[in-house]
Amino acid sequence: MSSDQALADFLDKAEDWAQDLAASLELLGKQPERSDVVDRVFQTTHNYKNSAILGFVRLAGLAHRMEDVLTLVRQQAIAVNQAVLDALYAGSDLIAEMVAAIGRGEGDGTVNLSGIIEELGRWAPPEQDPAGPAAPSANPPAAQAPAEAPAPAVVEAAPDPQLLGAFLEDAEDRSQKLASLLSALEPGAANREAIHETFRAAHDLKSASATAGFHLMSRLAHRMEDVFQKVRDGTLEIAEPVRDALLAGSDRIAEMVAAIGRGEAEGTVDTAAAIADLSAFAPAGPAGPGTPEAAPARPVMTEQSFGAFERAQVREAGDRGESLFRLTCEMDPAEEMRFARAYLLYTGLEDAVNIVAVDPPMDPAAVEPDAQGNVPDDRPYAHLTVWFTSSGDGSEALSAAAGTGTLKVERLEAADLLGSIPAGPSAAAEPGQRSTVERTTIRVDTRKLDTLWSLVAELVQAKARVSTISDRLGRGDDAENVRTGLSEAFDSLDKISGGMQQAMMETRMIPIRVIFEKFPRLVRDLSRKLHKAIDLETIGADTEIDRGIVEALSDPLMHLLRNAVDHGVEFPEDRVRHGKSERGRVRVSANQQGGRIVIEVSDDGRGIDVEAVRRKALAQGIPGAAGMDERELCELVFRPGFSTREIVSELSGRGVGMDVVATRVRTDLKGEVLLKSRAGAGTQVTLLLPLTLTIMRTLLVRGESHVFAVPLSGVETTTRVLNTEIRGAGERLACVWQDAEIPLFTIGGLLGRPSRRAEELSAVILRRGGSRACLVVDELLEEREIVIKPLDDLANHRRLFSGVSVREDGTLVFILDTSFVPEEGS
Amino acid sequence: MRTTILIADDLSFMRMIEKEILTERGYHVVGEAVDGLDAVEKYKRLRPDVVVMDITMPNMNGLEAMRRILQIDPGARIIMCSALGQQHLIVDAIKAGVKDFIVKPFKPDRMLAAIQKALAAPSEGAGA
Repeated sequence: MSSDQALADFLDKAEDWAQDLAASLELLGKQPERSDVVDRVFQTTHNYKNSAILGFVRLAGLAHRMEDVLTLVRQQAIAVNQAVLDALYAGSDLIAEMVAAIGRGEGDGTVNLSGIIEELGRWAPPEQDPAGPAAPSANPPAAQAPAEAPAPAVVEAAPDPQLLGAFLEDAEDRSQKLASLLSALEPGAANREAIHETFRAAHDLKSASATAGFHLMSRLAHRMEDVFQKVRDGTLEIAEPVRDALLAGSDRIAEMVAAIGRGEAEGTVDTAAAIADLSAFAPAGPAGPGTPEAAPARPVMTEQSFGAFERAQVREAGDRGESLFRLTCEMDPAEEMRFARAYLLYTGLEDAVNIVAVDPPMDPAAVEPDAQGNVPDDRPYAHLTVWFTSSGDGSEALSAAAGTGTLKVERLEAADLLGSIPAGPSAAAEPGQRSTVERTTIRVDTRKLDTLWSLVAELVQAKARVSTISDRLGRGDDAENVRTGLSEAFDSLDKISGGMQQAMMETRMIPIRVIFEKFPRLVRDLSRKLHKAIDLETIGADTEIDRGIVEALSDPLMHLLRNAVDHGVEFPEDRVRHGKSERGRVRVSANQQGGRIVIEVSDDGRGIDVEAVRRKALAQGIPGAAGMDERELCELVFRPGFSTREIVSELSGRGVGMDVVATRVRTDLKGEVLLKSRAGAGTQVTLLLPLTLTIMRTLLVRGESHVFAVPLSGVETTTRVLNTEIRGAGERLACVWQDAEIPLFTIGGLLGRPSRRAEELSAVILRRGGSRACLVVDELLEEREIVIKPLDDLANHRRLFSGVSVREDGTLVFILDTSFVPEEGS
Repeated sequence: MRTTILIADDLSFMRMIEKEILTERGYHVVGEAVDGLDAVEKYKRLRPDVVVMDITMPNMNGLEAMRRILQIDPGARIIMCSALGQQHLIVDAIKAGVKDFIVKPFKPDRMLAAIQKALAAPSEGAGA
């Protein structure tokens, strides 16, 4: 098996594991006492560990840490509480992220693990395993939470008696010096030099003991150093209790040195009291491991968010013949000084190339300690992105930045950045620069394959029959007999090809379960955050749908569910006050009705007050709002820009991003979305989707002597328009349909050719959401189911078509993309 | 010719451990300095290929010693040795031209990688 195959196989399996893990974690949340469930979580987690063989060491490391926690759960050393569950969930999320990144060809290095390793470490401190990822140290002087694992040290050097002797000599010297300096320090006296000396002695003890592997001593010395620092900075007075605490600390260190000298462990000396006393004067800062929250979200820079300054630099560099590159650096999770490492990289790059931008910003103030001596969080610098221009091939940057972490340099298309058409999110990467793992395999239910096999067998038979008829024809058989035979053969071929089309289509179908599985987690997290009690019901997870649709459907569905939980379902006390049960209910169902998939997301929450919508519509000056019925008012919710913050509460929040849901479903998926709601009783959103995106029901029309296909999902009706009814001139035409003026297009106009006008014209009324448009054609042909083939951009420079289909006679039918119909409000 | 290295640290234990790591990998530790002043003096005399310099030292700290050495020899390859919490000092050192830094307690690999990197970088001065 080649490594590519191994990778594809891993990605394939990882998909299964992710489902297992999500399901078993959910079960664990419900029945934490069941050891078989714990075993199942453990097993699925364990699977990821094998990925180390493929080189995904960070992924394997995270799985390993999760296993450590699960082992303790198994041993009943820790209970499965919310916090443990949260940590495991967070771990599984990051695993999924890493798998996704691997799938994109980025490897497992781009996902930040420092927070999760720390969090898992709180439950199961990592063992002294030099191969495992080291626990990231927090920023001093805030460090040293009890659960924090000692950083790996040069332990292999410590047993050397000569080295140990040297260490003990140094340590004894420093601790004696410390004690004598402390005794001499007059309370309140401003003896700066003496204070500096004591600080240095504590500092020496800290680093030497850490290097020698004596972590208790190092931690104690660290605490003392923190106190000295405050004294040195003038934020703490050397009062009697401070001096006592420091003296006690230096006594404990002297005892430890003596114990180690006798061959005993440093742990025989109890340092807890001394550390507690010292901490009273220099408490651990807020950025310590006690707050496992990651750094607050910071807007991340991308080349798309370049400002005028950056763009000007790129343009000028382009004029000089330089290319634009992006370097990303992923630091070793064990890197302690992330800012300094990033700064070193940056200064090195400055000499080698022309830097355009850097993210996060390279501001040395980012690491200046504040008045309390707390050092800011520099974790964001572990993921560094530098954009630069160079006349080389980018490798000069790699050598300048070597040794900083995992580096990647990509050449970017500056034209995409500077051109008027905004580049897609992935358009920047040049093909060949990245080795994205192509998913070339799909999994197909063997029953579906069996159906195909039997159809192929029938096809072979039908072929044999046709060849017999041909023979009979050659022998001069009766013409009537031959005709009957041919007709039978054709019938069976028709049946077989229809069956094969169906069977092939079904191989693209996957159960919608893959989306539904994400819901329990989403509802659980949201309801906990919002303090709501919500029961989620999912129905019809086995309903099968085209895999292309599933991928596009995930976000809109998640959005609808989030809306239902966040804005639909009321708080328990409000529900009780309105005579409802305390627990809200959210229901997601899927089923197939005819050739369509129907998905419903409903809640029993506060619903939408349609009169409030009407008031809002009137206030916004939307025409016809006064006379709208309930259905039309609900449709307004899908209008872009309709919902505003102040109506959010009134509307139970629907409308926030509902236009995005509608666009995705209607335009991308050729489906329909409907909303029904009753104030006080709940809301129901229904999505009607085609079974597949590869076969589409269309209306064939002729225009400009070509045949075009119009997706039926976008057709309201067909009609006739009199030439005299057309208003306007040139490219802006309109006509009246159902008492409203709607824009009018002609096929010729769309193709950029002048259109001929007959007296009476055939027309298709197109719909897009709530808006309508008229498309004038030469002739309406027929409704037809067609198989869509994608169209490359070259043939579609006007973006007029969504695809192409090949007719029986080999001619092409272009499928009109009806998004030229103006959206509401625009 | 073997690469020559000067170690500057006030702790004899640290010097010993560094020397052991470096000698094991075939580097020649030409001198050991016990403070910043000593480091500057020994640099003038020994002209080592690389200096591994602690920050916190008596008499003259590592930062000041580094600046003086770079004045004498702008091409000097200096690796700062720092403890956690001294990140702002390291940033100052980078501004002044230090080639790399390592964080105590360091792994031998880290130190060796830093030295190799410093040696690989082009030296802009005449002295190295």
